[in-house]
Amino acid sequence: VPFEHLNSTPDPSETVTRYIFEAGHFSRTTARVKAKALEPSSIDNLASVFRIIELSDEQIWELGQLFVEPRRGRSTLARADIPISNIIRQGLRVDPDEPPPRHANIAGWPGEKDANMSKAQELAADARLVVRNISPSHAKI
Amino acid sequence: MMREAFRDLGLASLFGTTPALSDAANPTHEHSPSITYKKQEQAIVEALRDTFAQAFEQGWDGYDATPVSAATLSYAWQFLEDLPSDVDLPEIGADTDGDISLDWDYGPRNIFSVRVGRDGTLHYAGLFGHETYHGSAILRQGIPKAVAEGILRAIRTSQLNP
Repeated sequence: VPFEHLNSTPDPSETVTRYIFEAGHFSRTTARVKAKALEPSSIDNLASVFRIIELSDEQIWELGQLFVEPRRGRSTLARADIPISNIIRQGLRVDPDEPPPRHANIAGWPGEKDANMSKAQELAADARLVVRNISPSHAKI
Repeated sequence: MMREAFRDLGLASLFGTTPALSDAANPTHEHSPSITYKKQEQAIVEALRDTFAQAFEQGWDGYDATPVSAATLSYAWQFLEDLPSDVDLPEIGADTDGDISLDWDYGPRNIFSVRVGRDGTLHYAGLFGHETYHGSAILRQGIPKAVAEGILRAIRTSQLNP
């Protein structure tokens, strides 16, 4: 059962994913994640992510469809896959935050907006963009 | 509803200064500096209008996003108006805290970003290779030096490494 709670501390060798809902948060032409997609919330200074260890590509989209899209009320357009080792290199960390299963937060952001932007730029530079192929009948936007 | 919000925020005068598209399209003045400036001004107005249309309501991101305010739009307009006409326009958007984002994005490691706040505070950050550059400033008369340097550095780097 892929979506059980993991109940483990994230390992630096794992990858987390950040679901993207705004077209302006990535570029199809350059296949790049924009830093804005990774900046933390101004409310709690956390960036919500999901641990995708041992999940297939299809299961990763399903995870977002089940646990993120209903809250956002819109369809996922893409996602940013980020190795946890890159997050740690920026002085940040990944804190598990279940439920929902596999949910975690990128935490430890400096707090000042400009410093957060700078960290997000570093994360985005090495993030992997995966664009979703959405059939018209599935799209909610 | 968006039209009403525009009116309620008193933005009619801001957007009423838009030059006519027909002026910019006049082929006899295609290379005139003044027409280039008008085209740029038109692009700014359209980008700010699109940003406001996207983010004028509470929770516009599907969560708890703060709307972009008239004051923020006004400061962003002031900032963009102060850009020299030969400087590339940034990508313009909204942040979930209601700031307006201005990004000169020339690649994953050649990017300079500015966030314009409702009180005129500018937060900026740049990534040039592996060098980071960030800080805050207040928008008063003209673009603050540290911000101008970041913009020019991103543009010059893009010209050296197209």
